[in-house]
Amino acid sequence: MSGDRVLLVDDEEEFTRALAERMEARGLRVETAADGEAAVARAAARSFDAIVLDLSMPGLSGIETLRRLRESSPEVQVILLTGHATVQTGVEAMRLGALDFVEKPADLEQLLERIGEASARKAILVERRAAEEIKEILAKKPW
Amino acid sequence: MNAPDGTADREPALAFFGAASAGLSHEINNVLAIINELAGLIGDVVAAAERADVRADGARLRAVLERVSAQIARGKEQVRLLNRFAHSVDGPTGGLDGSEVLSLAVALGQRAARLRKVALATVAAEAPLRLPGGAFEFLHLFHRSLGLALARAKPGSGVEVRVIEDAGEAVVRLEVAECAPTADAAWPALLAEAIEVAARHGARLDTVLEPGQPGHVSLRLPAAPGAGPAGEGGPRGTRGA
Repeated sequence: MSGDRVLLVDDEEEFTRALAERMEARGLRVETAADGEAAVARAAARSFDAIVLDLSMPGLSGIETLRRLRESSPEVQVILLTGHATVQTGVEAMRLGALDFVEKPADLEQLLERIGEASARKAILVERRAAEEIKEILAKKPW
Repeated sequence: MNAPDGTADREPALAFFGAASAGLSHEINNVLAIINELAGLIGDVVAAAERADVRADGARLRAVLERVSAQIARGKEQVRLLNRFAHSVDGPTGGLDGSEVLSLAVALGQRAARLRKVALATVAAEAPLRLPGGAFEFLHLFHRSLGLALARAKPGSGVEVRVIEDAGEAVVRLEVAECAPTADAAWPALLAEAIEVAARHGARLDTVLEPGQPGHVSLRLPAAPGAGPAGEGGPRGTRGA
């Protein structure tokens, strides 16, 4: 998990700042975004092992941000942060491919555990996609 | 049509009560989440010092404690708003005068405005705000009016709240700096519900919200009973602690 690249998305900049400081002290490489639009732009520019996304933000909602992130990169692993999880939002988030929910205030150890799972899952998906691409290339080439 | 038990009147008011309480609880929870991380950060600094068998970095700890203090002040303000909101149902005006109720209404609306990326501000009142009914009823009417203004305001623009007097009646005017190019699908229902709620309280809502133009939502309040032409407030109750 040390060295994993994480994107924290929350309009509470003091929250992302403090959380980033703690994660960086544990060896993670952390970037932050204050809204959904910025998160989508960051994720388009760079690959993250996990994205920790607040559900309630100005502009694009967390759910809409999740949908756009998954559209542009199906392997992206998103952990949702919420202060008030509802069954309806949870179901919608899982349907859109969120890895998990973590309630605010977050327990850092729990969050790090989820980031570790996200990173491992993403590595498998990327590896699987690479293997499929190689298989496709091999099938097309008349060796 | 109201049910004999007043259910039809109560449901929109309860929906407003739920939305306002949820907004405040969300803000308080955010403060707690930040304090939680800052407390963790202090723990990290102390643990790192213990591991290295050195004194903890005092300057760093003081800097984090200042950040904790800032969040405590923020949380205290949210709790104060929650307390005032809870007491808005006390007595005729919840112990608040018109300008205090307006200030509370604007403070309660800040979260919704922020979520729409719209700046919400109050302009110094040109006329006193005399409340015709209870504070809670006014907060509800303002919430509905603000909902209309925010639904049509262009993200990145602003809404200014001013109180004017027109033909002896107080008008709370929410001026939208620039309306969005389109209204979303929920707009007709939102407008119909707001107009109905206003009518139930003897108030009137007018909207001028054209795409790409400045606009406004005007909440015209009925005359306050027994209030003189320039008097402010109305009966004052006991402010709750």
